Amino acid sequence: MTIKILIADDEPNILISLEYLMKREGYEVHIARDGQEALDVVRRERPRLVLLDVMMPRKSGFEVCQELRADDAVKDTLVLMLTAKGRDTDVAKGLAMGADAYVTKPFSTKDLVQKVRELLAPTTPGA
Amino acid sequence: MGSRKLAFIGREAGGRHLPELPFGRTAAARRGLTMLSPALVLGASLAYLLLLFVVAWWADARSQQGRSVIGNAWVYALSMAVYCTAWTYFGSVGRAASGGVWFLPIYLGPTLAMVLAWTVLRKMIRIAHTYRITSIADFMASRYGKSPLLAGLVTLITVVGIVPYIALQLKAVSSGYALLTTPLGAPSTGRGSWWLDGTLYVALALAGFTMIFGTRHLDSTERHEGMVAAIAFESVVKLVAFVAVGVFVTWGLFGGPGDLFARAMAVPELKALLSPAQQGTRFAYAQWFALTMLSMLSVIFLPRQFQVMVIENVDEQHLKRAAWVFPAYLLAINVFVLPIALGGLLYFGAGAANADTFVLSLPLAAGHNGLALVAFVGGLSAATGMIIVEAIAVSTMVCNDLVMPMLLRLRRFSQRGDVTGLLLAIRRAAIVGVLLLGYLYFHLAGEAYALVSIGLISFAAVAQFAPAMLGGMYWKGGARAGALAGLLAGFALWVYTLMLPSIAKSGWWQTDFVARGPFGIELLRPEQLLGLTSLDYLTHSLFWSLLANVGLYVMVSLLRTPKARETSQALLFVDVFDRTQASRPVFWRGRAKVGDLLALTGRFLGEARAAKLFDDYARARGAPDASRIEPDARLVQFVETELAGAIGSASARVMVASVVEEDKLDMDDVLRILDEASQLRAYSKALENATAELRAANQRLESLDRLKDDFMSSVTHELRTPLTSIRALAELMVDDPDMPAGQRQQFLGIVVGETERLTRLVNQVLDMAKIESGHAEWHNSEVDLVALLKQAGETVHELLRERGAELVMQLPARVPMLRADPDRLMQVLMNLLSNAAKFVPAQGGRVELRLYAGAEGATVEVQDNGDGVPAAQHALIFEKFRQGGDAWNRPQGTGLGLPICRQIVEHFGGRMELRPDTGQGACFVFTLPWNSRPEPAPPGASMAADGDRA
Amino acid sequence: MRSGLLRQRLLGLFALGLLLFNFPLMAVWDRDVLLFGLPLFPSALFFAWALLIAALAWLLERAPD
Repeated sequence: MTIKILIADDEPNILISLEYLMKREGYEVHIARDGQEALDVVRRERPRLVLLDVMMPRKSGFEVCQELRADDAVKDTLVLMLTAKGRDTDVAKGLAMGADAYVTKPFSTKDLVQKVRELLAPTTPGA
Repeated sequence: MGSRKLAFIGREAGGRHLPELPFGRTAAARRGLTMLSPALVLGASLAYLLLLFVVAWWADARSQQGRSVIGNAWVYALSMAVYCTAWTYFGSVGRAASGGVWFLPIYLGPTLAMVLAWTVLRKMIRIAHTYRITSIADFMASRYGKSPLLAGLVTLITVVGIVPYIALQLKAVSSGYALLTTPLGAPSTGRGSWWLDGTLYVALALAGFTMIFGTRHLDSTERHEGMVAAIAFESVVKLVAFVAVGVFVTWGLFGGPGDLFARAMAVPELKALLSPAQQGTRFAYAQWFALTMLSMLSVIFLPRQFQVMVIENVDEQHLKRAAWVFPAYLLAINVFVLPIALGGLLYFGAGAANADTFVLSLPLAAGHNGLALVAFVGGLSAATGMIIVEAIAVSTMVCNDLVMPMLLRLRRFSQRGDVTGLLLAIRRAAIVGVLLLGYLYFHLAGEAYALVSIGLISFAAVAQFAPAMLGGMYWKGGARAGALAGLLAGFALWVYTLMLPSIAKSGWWQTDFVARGPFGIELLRPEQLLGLTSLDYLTHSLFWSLLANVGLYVMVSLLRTPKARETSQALLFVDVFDRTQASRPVFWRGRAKVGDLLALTGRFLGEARAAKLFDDYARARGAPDASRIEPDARLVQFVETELAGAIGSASARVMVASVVEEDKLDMDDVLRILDEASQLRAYSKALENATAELRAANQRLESLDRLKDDFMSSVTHELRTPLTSIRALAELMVDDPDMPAGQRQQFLGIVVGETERLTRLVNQVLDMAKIESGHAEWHNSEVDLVALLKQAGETVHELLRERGAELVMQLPARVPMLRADPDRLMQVLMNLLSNAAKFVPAQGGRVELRLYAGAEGATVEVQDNGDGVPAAQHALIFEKFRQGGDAWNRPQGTGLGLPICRQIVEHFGGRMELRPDTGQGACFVFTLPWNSRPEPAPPGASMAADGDRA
Repeated sequence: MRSGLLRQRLLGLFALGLLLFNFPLMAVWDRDVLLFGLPLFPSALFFAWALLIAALAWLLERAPD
């Protein structure tokens, strides 16, 4: 069974590239364009992992992460934060909110894929 | 009062004398009155005293829990009302019955004094608290070089002046009791053996009460909270009781004030009371003025007033409210004085009853025994309140300023260890002593004339303190010798012109020296000194005594060169508001040992408290424990101040000098120390200012830094976002050479678009930075707005056509020329127009460009028929990196376009705004004034080519 | 300085009080007239007194700490 991944970002061009990348890696990809949509999709599709942009309309990535962790049904969802703000305080805040990993934009596709694999590895059967 | 007298009140005293006789002839007055049982009256009195006890106990308990009840301006104001004694409670009515408004100056004076309280009294409080002054004698002694002689003299004057006043209170209570309990028509109680005299027991009971609340603590600056609470309570009781009687007389016995006054005006004698001049009597304005001034001084310098207002004050700020609440209290308690007096005169008939007891006899005569009892308790309240506070104040003085200096001379005493117990015993003995003296005076001069005007005689005695006290607070030149000379002369003249004549006239000293002068020398007649006959005796005495007092105080102070210690104390007192504790100079030089000082403190304050004081001091000075304290001048001063709180400043000085080795200071030393302290103060002030400035600058920098940080963070984000797409897509294409051509083409298109976005962003950030820093170049020339707008319309025409939108232009034929940079204006127009083009709907898009020429300037409007800007974003749209539109259909933009446009328009003195939403799309408006901001070009310079750098 | 101004105002009020309660201003009220059924002379004194207290309260209560 393919692993479901949700990509949440408000930049269409970044969505295009990430969607292509993740599909190439063989995951089932869903997309969301703002924080609220991301939450809705997570609750509906129960993805294993969310690639979550921090600066999004309606709900920021931080808020989404916090709500995910507070919701028993989806609190085990893995969260990989993506941000264009590279300040240490942002990284610390993201991890404090319960993110599992943190990647700053612009990122190398290889590194991102590697991180995603690492996050999914222990729970992926047969990997 | 004074110079005139009413025929129907048979006074035996001469016309010049204060005419009312409090509590005198009771037998006639009581004719036809009912009575109360002695057990009831005694029981009520006892119950009342017990209640007082409970109030005081409760307040003390609360204070120990740290929830003080007296830390409040209302309680403070009420405690000041201890000014109203039994003398005023009963006597005001008597005074009004014989003299009309003559009871008023005693209350108008304090009101005037309270107007100045915020300045004068506050300074007194600050001085007393800073130097731990315990009494009025201590205040004077401390100011004039900590002189034990001066302290003793002031104490002596106080005792002589106040003891008769206490006697008056005792008499008020005992004759009030007699009036209530003597049966109809019975003869006035003859005085039996002294042990049968109830007044003695009243005095002793009050002494006991005073001891319990007045001398529980030794240090008088540890305030008598319980006592103050009890006094405030008593003030409420006496006010309520007096007003109750007043209401009863006005509305119960008569038909309201109108009826009462109408009836009074019908009687010629009573009419004369209410409008004296019209009835042909001369109003003694000089005496009125003298009484006002006298009571003005007394309200501050009476020992009990000084005690509650200065020593017991908890917080200077309370003075602000108390200064008007206390006069308001005086006003309230006096409103019914005239109605009760006139009511009594009308009810009993003029001359038939003693007006001094109207407060009791009116309710009694009307059969309202309960009200009479309440009125009696009110009077008891007034008397006990006065006695308790006065006794505490006087006992503190007697102990600290009379007994202690004598004890300190004894060898035996100096070898004693802990003397705290002894000090308390002295104070308690002094309380009993003062009250017994009061009783003795009452017993000896009970029915005598001396008692009648004794209240004012006491006032005149304490008024002698005024010159040296006030002079000491405001005049650095006032010296000890001057204060001594002034006080002695004033006191001597007071004795000669007021005290002795009153004793002589009381009848128990047969002499004619008042009428004929000593040894028959007419010029020395005590009430017409040097032949001064035109003043009444009180004004006469005040004039001579205060003249001599002030005159000698000033003259001797000017003639004598003051000692160093006097000068240093004068500086500390007069400039008390100018310095904080830390920067106050310490006028002491010498060597001391911490152990000696600790032992000395322990002797007078108890060892436990001394140890705690030293520990606190060590902590405050940053020393690890008491033994490591630096034994410097500040420590010596600290110990001396603490001791002063217990034994008075003069005695404290002597004691400290006995355990340290000190250098004698001369005038030069004093001035040098003062100079050092001033410099220190100047340094610390400058340092404080500099620190404050630094802090402000730092805060400004921090907020600028935060702004810059936010800006940088936004720019970074905006740069990284396109870079992310570019890098990711490029890597994908590199990784996958076999990517389908269509896919590759799409990715390459995105990469190009994002690159353009990056370029635009970089350009605009630079542009913004240039404009903001003032480094942008402005090529100003005469601009024809109509032509410029047409040109802009042509430029965007193609763009709009692509989006299927039309452009509508509304331009006047011609408008005045405008001085501006045409390229920059074009930039603004293009930005607004392309912005509008982005938001028009796909079908039927329409952009309008309008120009209006007004009187002040030109207005340009750019309107689209899109969805408009949500109200929440109106305020933000001109901020950097805030873009309109939501995530998915957000147009390509940097978030800097509109901020830059606004900056440009504002540069030309115009304004740019977003019209409030009308539901027809967004409408951006900017105005440009015709006389665009004058450019700072030098005269004669070419107007066309200058670069504006404003 | 605010505190200096308050001091001057209080001094002014004191002078006003001293004037009101003494000759000759006081003599102005010494007339055989009833005002609302009350004799004018004492009423005027009490009224001036109340006014003085009100002014004092107003000055002090609005002064900053």
